[in-house]
Amino acid sequence: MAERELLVVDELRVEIPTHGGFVRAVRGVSFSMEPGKTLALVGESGCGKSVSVQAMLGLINVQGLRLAGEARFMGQDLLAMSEAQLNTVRGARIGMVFQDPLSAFNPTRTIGEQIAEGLVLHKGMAKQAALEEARRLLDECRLSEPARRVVQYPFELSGGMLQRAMIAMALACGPQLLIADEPTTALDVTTQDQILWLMQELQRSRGMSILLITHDLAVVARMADDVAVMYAGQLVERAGVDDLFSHPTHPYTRALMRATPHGEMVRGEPLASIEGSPPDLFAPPPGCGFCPRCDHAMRICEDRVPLLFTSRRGGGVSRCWMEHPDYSRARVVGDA
Amino acid sequence: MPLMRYISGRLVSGVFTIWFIATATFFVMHWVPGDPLSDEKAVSPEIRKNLEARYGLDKSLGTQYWIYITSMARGDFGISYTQKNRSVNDIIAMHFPVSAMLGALAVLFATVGGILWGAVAARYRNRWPDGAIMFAVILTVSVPSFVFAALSQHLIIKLNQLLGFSLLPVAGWGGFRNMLVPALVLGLGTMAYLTRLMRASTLEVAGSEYIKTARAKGLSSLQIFRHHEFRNAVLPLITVLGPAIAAITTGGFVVELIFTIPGLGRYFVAAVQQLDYTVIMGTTVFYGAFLVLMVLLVDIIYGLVDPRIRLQGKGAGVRA
Amino acid sequence: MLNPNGAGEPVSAAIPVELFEPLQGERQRDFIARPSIGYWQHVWLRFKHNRIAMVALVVVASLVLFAVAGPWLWRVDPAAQSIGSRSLGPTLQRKAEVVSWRPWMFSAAAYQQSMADPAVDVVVADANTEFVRLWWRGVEGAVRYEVYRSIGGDLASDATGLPLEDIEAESVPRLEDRLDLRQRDYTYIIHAVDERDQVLQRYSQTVSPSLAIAIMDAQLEGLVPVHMAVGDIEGTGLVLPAHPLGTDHLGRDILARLMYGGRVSLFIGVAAPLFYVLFGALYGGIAGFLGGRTDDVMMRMADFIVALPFLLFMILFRVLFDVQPGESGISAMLVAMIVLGWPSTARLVRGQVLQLKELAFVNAAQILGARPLYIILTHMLPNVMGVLLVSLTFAIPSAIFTEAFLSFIGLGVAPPAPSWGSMCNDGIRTMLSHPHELMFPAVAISLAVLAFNLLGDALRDAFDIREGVTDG
Ligand SMILES: Nc1ncnc2c1ncn2[C@@H]1O[C@H](COP(=O)(O)OP(=O)(O)OP(=O)(O)O)[C@@H](O)[C@H]1O
Ligand SMILES: [Mg+2]
Repeated sequence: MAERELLVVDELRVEIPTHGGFVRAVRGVSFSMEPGKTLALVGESGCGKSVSVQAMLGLINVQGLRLAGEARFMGQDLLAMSEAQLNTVRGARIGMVFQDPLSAFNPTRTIGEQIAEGLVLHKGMAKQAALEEARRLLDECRLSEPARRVVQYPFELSGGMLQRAMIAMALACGPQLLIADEPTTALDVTTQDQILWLMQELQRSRGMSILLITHDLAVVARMADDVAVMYAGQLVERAGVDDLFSHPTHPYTRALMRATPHGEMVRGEPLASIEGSPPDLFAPPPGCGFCPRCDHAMRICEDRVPLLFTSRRGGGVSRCWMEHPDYSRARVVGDA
Repeated sequence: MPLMRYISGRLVSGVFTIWFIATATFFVMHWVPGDPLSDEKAVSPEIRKNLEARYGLDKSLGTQYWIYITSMARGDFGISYTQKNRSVNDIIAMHFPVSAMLGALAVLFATVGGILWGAVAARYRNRWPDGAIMFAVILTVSVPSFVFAALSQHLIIKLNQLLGFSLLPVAGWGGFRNMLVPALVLGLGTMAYLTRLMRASTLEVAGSEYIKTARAKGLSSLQIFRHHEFRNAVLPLITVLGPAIAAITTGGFVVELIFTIPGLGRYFVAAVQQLDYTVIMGTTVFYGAFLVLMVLLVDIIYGLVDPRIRLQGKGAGVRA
Repeated sequence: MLNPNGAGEPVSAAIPVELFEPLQGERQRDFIARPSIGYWQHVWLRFKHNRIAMVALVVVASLVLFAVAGPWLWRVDPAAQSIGSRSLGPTLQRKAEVVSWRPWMFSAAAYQQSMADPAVDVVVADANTEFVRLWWRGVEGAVRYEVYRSIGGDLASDATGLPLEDIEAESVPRLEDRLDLRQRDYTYIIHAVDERDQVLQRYSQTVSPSLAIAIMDAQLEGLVPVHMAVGDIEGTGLVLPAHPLGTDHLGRDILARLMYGGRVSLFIGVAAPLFYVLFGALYGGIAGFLGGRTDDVMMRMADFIVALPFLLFMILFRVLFDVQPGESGISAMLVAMIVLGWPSTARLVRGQVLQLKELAFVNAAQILGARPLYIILTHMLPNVMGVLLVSLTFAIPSAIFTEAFLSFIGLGVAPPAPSWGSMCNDGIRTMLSHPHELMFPAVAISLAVLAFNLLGDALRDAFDIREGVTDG
């Protein structure tokens, strides 16, 4: 069966063993991505964004890891692949950019060597040709003096330069999908802006998809076509970017937006914070994960996990009982 | 040139350290109750005077110290008290090469073995090879080296008996065959220590972010091990090589005693038993200087190998 | 364009209206963390659940008990020598006959009589561990008899063994053997040789000496009253003391020596680290706390001490303390270990203190005007306690090793005072013939070091300290 979508993630579940038991880091995440589009994965720190994508690519190297669900990339389930099969996808068709560029580079090898490595592996290039290609890629990623950078070590470059080099490394083999895990969090504002601009430009010229992980809604608004919002290991809302910003449905999404500074704010207006803390992922609550912090919590929220209901107003889906068809009927009855 | 700055900094502190060792040795020996000649039997006053003059004992402490330091700086360690016609330099020149050869072979065994075993243990983490290696390590560090020396001697004898001819000599000094087992025994403790360190170091590297990057690039676990993990895990091991050489050099005493190898360690022990002051002082300062030089050498090698130091003159703390 | 519904379960039947009622009143917004327990309790729990740690703890406790209380239970003088029972393997109590040696009063008549039977060539007149006496049939043409002794019964027909004696052929060919006899089978080989060194005749006789003790030895070892007449004692039976771990080359009881030696070795092993870890902690704590130039100078000092060749200076202290060859230098060893050992702890604690200084709570206390000493005691000490305990635990095995090493090369505890190291030194001489003399003290050292190492590992895990922190 040929899918139009580049990537379809279906009910992904990840449980990580620790000394204190299993962390239920991802508890059912589904989304899909189309070629050439950008999907933003948002949510507060610790909600399982990184774990989701890393589990998909088999990058969580923990013995006894529990994985369930599917992640079909170009029709093939990544989760079912052997390590060897995965290695033909990772780096070749899916490139990955990490949050902290300094620790993501091997400190004892040159930038050029580290970029060339993938080219030698996936494209069968000779070492010298690969280094030359690395220089070209650095140039494409608008890194100044690319020929010098090739022979430099990571600690000799600034954070922004390193992030460009990392993007060059991720793009080396011309992947269809670029996964960027908070690529700008570690950078200052101007550099952030340049990196985002670079990514947009590269996406345009190369026609690839980007899965962008971030907790910055401004970045989402600027980059994304679609948005998936995560909370406590679950996908709580999914919509096109315009729908999401015009009609945020899930109470968590709405709280998140209230907590973010935006253009239309009046000077001095306080930012709302979300009261409380996320649930314990060792023993998640039986009902909606957001229920304890939700201003609209209902009795059903306490003991039944809501499904992903089609939003009543926007075009997306939302994991909230208020979107249940029976909800408005109940409201009418209750108000009467 | 950051590297030159790094090296010259190390050199200066090395010279300082050697001076400190020499001074400490001098004063420790000077606080010794009685004077070194008090044991001489039936010495007439004139001879005593002569001897005092010969060893410089008739001068003030300051002068003595000055003479001592300047002659040490020239590399002159004086004349033995018990063998009046032998200079300490002669003794060192004769016995040290033996110790050094034995030590070098032991260091080779220890590092190669330690790196290998440690890497294997880390690669098979929490599986049986890891368990077996770590068990052997904890056993090895818990058994004194002289027990290993004795055991190996026992084994050689049994082996020779079994074979009906002498495959390996039981003791003594001569060719490579004489060095083999003593060096192995001498290096064993350090090998265990390095194994442990290499395992921990490899695991630390394996858990780092850049290994995740390498995996995201599609490298197989073997490629990652060869190109990223191994190299980075070995680097910090270089820094403990200095102290390891020190441990092996001084550990040589026991091995030299048991295998009756005519090294400097055995001579030093004898000198202490006979209270041969100049030999004790000379050997101590010589060993101290040798160790400082080794640490220095190791630091410089580390500086050459680690790009962070080579290019910036700073990096991980060099001594463990 | 997005997956319309990613959820697994189908939408079930209509939901009762009352479930959509809003929750009322104050709600718990934070998740309830599992009951929080104190730091020390946490450490103890983690430690308790480590089975290896508990085993190591038991081993350490038993060793200490063995050394401290053992001598009360096993009342044997560790220095008492016994010529008759040198280098014995582990033995229980044995019955021995008291004998006294006198020159062999030989009767030719008895010889003739015993040789009357043509089937008998060799006659055993006496066979006990004090002396064995044989005579044999003379060989025509022989000028002398070569006598050999070997251990065990059956021998190959051409084997000989230890050459004992060459005996001129006289009227009565005979042999008295008093050479280090043990309670086991010996085979005596007698070659009758003519003047051209040709072996004319070979006799072989297996002998099993009975256990005996000379009167003099029995009196020396206090096994019989000195005032008793020789005639009254001779020929009586006597119970020789048991040696559960055997005896050494001077016949001293190894079990007793192991206990007394344990006192010395464990005392040095624990006392020296205790002092230098405490001193190092104080030194490093002060350096780290004061910071700046003082810190620089103080740590420079520590660096110098570290650069001294450790074992050589340990030995130099022996000279400094005027310990003569053959004397025990326990105090010299202790002082040397303390003087040379503290820098690693100092560095460790300084690092910790520097880290803690950065932490807000100490700053806060400082702002509030607390005195430095008060800050150290109330805030820093509990935090460095774990590191200290771990480094102490790791320092003990290395101190035990150092003692063993020095005593082994003859520059530590000297005989007759036993320590595990000096016992190994004694044992190594007889290692090939009597391995138990080396084995038992070596096992004691290894067991102690192993237990403390495992304990250290477990504590490090329990305190959750990064590996490598305590490697100095
Ligand atoms: N190796 C691991 N072992 C145990 N728990 C882990 C591990 N990795 C992640 N977790 C847990 O899984 C949860 C999700 O972590 P994740 O890194 O995916 O969060 P995130 O959404 O990426 O947050 P951030 O924005 O901070 O990157 C967290 O509660 C985290 O503690
Ligand atoms: Mg993350």
